[in-house]
Amino acid sequence: MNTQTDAIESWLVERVVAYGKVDSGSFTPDTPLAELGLDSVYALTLCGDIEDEFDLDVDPTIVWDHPTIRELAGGLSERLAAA
Amino acid sequence: MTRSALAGRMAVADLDRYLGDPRDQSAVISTERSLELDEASAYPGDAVGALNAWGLHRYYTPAEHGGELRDVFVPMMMIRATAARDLTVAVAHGISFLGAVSAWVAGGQIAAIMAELVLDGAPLSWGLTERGRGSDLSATATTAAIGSSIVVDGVKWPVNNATRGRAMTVLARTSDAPGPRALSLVLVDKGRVDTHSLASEPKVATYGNRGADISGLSMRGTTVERDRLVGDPGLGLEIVLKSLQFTRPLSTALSLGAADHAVDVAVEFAASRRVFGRELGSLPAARATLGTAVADALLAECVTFAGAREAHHAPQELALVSSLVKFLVPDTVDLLFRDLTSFLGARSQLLGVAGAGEFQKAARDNRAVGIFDGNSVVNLNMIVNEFTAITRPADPVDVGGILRDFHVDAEPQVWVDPLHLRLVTRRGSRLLRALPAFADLLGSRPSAGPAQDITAELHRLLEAAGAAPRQAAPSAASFDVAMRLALCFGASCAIAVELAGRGSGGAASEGRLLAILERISVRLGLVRSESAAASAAELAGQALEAARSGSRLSMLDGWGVHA
Repeated sequence: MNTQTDAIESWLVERVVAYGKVDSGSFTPDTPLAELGLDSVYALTLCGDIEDEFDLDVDPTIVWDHPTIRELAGGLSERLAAA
Repeated sequence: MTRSALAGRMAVADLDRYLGDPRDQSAVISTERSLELDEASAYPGDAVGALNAWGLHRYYTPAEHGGELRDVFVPMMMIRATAARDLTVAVAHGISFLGAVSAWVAGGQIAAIMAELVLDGAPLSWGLTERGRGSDLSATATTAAIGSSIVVDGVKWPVNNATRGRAMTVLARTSDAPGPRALSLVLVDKGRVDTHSLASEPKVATYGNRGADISGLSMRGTTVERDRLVGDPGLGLEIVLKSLQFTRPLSTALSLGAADHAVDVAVEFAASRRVFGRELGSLPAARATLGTAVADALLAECVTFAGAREAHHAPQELALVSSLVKFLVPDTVDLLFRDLTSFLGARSQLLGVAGAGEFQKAARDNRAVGIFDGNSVVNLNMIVNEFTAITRPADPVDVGGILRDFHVDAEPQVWVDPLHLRLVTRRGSRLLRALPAFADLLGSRPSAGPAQDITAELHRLLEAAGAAPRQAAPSAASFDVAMRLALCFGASCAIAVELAGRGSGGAASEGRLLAILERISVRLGLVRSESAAASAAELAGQALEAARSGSRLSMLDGWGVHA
């Protein structure tokens, strides 16, 4: 875990709360995104937000491969490092 | 035109000749025989065998794997030519393409294994659906335990070709973990497993495509070799969703064939039927009705062609384009059938009257096209899911690039690179984005009028799409926006095809485009149908004239579509 991954994790938590399906504090970075009301439609929205925030081109399969906030932050961090 | 482009067209024309005149009882597909088999819900085995003898299956296999598939529009035109005679036959044969396509998307060794099956003429099926799960593939319950071999358990139903197919590409659960990565694809070749572990589920009685082998396959401890995985474990759903991006436009070739069939019947009726001492086709109201149907058929042709071209030239946008095409084409052809039903009157429903029974069969058969590979609701939902991408700001479109890709004499030389496919687009479709520029390119042509009206409607729809709430179950209002966006997309396809056509800007070509765009304006509710009657009547005149010279009206002069 590095600072960048931390920052991405916080940003993801903020996004998930902004989607309005769950209250902040009611979940952890290890709660599966599917349990946070993040259905396939919100996965698409999240991909769009990721692109806008990080200028990173991702397909919704990134959420399939990284199904929690912690894993997703790690996955994004790796892709940003590789970009 | 390049040599391979020319070869593709010559092959389409050759198949058309091989299939012959359906009114001739000794033809490969005769209307009389088709109606008999349909009445008996019997499988058209002779016709399917004859298509194999001709080698249609070779066009389902990419050239890199030993087949003839380069430009996907070539097999689509072959399926269209077959469906124009008997849609049931086209489905029964074409289903093997669907059964194989996951292997082309997955690539690697399994593609070579699949190519061997297809080139051997083996009938294939695509085992996705299961009882009680509707369109929700993520709920797949069939399991495949991967060890030194793979053991499959479950029932796939209803699946086209399940019983007759030699092999089935099966979507199965390969992990207990939740989520889409728990699903994988397995090729079950009945010739290589213990047949005692297999059982057929009975054929389903259907409204259309009565003769099709729509049945099921039950697998109980069916053991297949480890190298029969289609793609890596966990990639099953992703490969299926990407494969559907090809098969959706592909299946609309069936609707084009159905539309050809319907228009042929109607044109012949108009030319031969006498009312009040005059030819039916000379009465203004009849001409307008006939022309409206022809406009719908030409729109469908343009949209299917666009789907084929974008598969090659904009695969990263195919997630959206395939849904737009798969919604709009069957829907438009359904509308065409409904309009022509009243035109033909009682004849549209009758059996045993010369030239009559085939219309009701084609109408029923076409209804099924809107259902398989994702029904209209699924496709509209996909379009709604793309609202964010569609409304995101984008760089100006390279309109010249689209017109080069759409040029009627240009053909892609290689099958699509599946690595460019995505489950969601970044910026929607370049064709939607290009509509304003296309409308401007029409300059002072009469067709520019409806093109500008449709462009103004597109701007309104984009605003509505941008403001639509994001919901797993979209509102009726969002579905309506999606439907209307599909019509705007259709307008863009039609303009692109016209501008890239051989006779672009000529009186006949302009007349066709004008009728298509005015028809779209009517369907969008922008103008009343009366104001489109003149362009429709003019188009009917073109269709009647084409029929007199033994051809069929098309937006794709150079593809040699003949009646």
